[in-house]
Amino acid sequence: METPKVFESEYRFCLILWEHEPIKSSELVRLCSEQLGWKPTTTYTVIKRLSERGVLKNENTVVTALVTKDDVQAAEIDELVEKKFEGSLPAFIAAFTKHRRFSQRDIDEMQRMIDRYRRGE
Amino acid sequence: MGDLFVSMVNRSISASWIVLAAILLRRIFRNAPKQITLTFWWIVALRLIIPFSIESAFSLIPSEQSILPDKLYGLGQMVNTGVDVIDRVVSPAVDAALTQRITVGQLASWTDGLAIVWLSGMMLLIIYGLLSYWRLVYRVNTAIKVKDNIYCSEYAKSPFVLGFRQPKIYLPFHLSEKILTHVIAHEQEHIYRSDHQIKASGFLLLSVYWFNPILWLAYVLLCRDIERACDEQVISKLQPEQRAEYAEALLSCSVPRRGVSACPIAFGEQGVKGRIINVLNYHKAGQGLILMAVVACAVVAVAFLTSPQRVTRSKIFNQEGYLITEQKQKDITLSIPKDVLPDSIYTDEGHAFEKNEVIVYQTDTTTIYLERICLSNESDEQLYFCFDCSYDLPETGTILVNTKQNENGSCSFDVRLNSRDLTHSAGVFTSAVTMRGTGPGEKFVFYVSTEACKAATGVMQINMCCNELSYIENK
Repeated sequence: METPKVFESEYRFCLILWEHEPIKSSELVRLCSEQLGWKPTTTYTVIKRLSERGVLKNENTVVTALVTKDDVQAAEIDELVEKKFEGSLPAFIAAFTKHRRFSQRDIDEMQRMIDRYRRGE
Repeated sequence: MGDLFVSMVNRSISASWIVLAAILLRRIFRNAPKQITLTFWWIVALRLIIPFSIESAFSLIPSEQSILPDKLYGLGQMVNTGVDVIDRVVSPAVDAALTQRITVGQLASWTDGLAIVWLSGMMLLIIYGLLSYWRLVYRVNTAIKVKDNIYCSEYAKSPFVLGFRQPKIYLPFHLSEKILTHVIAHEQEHIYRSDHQIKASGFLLLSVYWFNPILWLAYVLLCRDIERACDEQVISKLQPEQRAEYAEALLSCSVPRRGVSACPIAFGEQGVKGRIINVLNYHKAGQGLILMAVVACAVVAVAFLTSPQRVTRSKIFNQEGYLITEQKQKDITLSIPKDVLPDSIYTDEGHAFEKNEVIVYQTDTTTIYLERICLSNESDEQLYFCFDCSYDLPETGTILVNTKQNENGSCSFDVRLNSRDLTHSAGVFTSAVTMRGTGPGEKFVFYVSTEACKAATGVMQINMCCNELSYIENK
């Protein structure tokens, strides 16, 4: 299933949601006001917008997420690779490695990830 | 309504002269602090807002009233910019185009029509401004608060300030640390100087005077100058190396934008190239230059905010700056067309006519018009015909007046009837007219027999005698 698009400010909202879900919408409003500086009307509008997009669901004033953080992050990478690297993941990684220096720990971590992937996890 | 519109057009033309002077001076004083050049725009705004002006001998405005609504003698003379060349070419052209003489009644509705167009244009612009403002406010309501009045939003393509009572700064996400400090410093400076309010007021003024293209240019330049003045303020507190960073910040935030925006002040708009050059070339202006620029401002203010001294009737009569060279009696015939008189004249209240609506006699300087007709207080058998005079006073000339100058310098009313006959197209009514009196001001009144007036057809004529005054400028 296509993961719905989440914009930057909405992403910050989702971070709060993922950390506290399931959560009452009124509580969510309070948290958003504290951490994001949003007015209550804004928070409710965003909840409505995201529920229409299928990112979360709001039942009996309890909000739960329908997509995970991993899903959204993966979708962002897909979009980036598609748009800027003509769909080629190796090209993306190559560009990445060219511009970044990796510590030994980073390399070890990445090696472990590749091994896990190979093993089918 | 039409009159208001005409006076606004005149004011905007005076303001346009200031704008042209400002553009010239801006160029000359381009190395002076932009704060001073901003003053030129304040002068333009003052000229547009204030309806009156003081007269002075130092006024550089060629003509106080570039469009004269009352003048009908040769419609082409409506165009009187005071600039000889323009007048000589345009007036005859307008005259040729309108060979028919239009009565002032028609003229009045013409300026009224224009006034309606003007109002619609103004409303449209104001609505556009409001709508684009609210749309932006709505778009950034999901902005994430970073600190104090600083927010981040994905809709901020380049940094800007929004909001009047509590202005907030909106930044794009993911700006680098270095750029961030400069951008925030710049935007805070804008808030400190109330630039966002100035821009909005400027746009409001522009919507009122939208018909004048020179003012649109002035607005664009105003916005640029605001940005540069702000840059200068921020830069003056930085070290030279930091200035290069500031210029880089400008460059990386630069966003191509259309010329006019009502709303927010975005960091990367408004002539970025010019601003970068300005930033890199910045150095404090010398005292001498600052002084000269301030003086230039003052001169412009006096020259363009005051209006040229006008010839007035009282100045002529009191011989203040004018000398009366000759006065003699002049016989004239007033022509009153019967068919423009409504039936309401035969009542106690009567009918009052618009100024210059029914012209009964005219020279190139003097217009005598019918002011009012009603039944006389004393008897229903007589009608009270009141006439008034309006003038287009040149520096030197000859006018018709209802007074005469006495040897001792005072003046007294003097209008006489040459004949008590009321002539009309089908004949004459003898003893139908009597003298009632003169004053106040340029008015004078005759009594006309009600019966005669009712029976008259075509054009009624009254023979009278008044004074012809010749005067010259005496500076």
